[in-house]
Amino acid sequence: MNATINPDYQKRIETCLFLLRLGVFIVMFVWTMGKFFDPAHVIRYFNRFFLIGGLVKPLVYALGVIEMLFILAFLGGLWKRYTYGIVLFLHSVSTFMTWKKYTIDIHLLFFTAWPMLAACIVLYLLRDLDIKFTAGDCFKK
Amino acid sequence: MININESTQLARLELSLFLLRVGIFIVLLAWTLDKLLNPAHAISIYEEFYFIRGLGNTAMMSIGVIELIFILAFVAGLWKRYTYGIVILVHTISAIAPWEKYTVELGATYSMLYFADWPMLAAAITLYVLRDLDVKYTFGRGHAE
Repeated sequence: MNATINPDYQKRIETCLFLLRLGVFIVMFVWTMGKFFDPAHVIRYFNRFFLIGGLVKPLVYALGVIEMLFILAFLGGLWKRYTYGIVLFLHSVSTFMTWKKYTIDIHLLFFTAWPMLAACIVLYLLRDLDIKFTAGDCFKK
Repeated sequence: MININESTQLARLELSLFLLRVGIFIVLLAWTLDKLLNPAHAISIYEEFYFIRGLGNTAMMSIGVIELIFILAFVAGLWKRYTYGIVILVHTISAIAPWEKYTVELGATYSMLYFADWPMLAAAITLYVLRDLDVKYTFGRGHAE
């Protein structure tokens, strides 16, 4: 492939990747906050969709703290290969575990998981171009 | 400085834009089919979130047919400036209309699902901004000079 891209696009690509990172972060942030404000809902959710029972509130809070640190690293563009990779993995699991909502028990709101999954894949694939407002690149400089 | 002209990055970029287009299309298709197959539900959505009342089944199904033609043009990458632009406009309205779900009704059943509208909006903006590079599996124009 010999096509060339106008250098002006580099800034646009960086801005777009930042917007995708911010968009994905908003979702992850809300779900993380849910672990602090409504742990009972999280326990029910894990039981229903992931078939994980026996969670207790302190465990959900601890999970919330770890998740918060993790998503802040993600937003900051730190350790991209791992943070973006884990976000992609987690969201893939969330998307596929709720398969009934796309098929036999259709709920339209669940479908937005798919463009979000695409956004996670894009962030992982283009992580080397994703340098706008990232702490990782500040450290490098 | 990263050289985005490298063929690998360019291939990844084109694949990325294609995935974003397909991801958005899946959502639009689900909502379009709802209008065609379950117009009563679509009518109730219009009444609750957009304050548009009095639409009948026929009107809603007509909207569905027009929408289906439109989203097929979108996924094929036709008339990108207009199809991608309209998708941003429509999705921005869709994302803002249920604002109560992000605020006063936060915590209600399924309210957290509404937040996935935001990465979808970012995806729609990305497609519009980078539309000239979005050439994979499209019928539209190729790379901008």
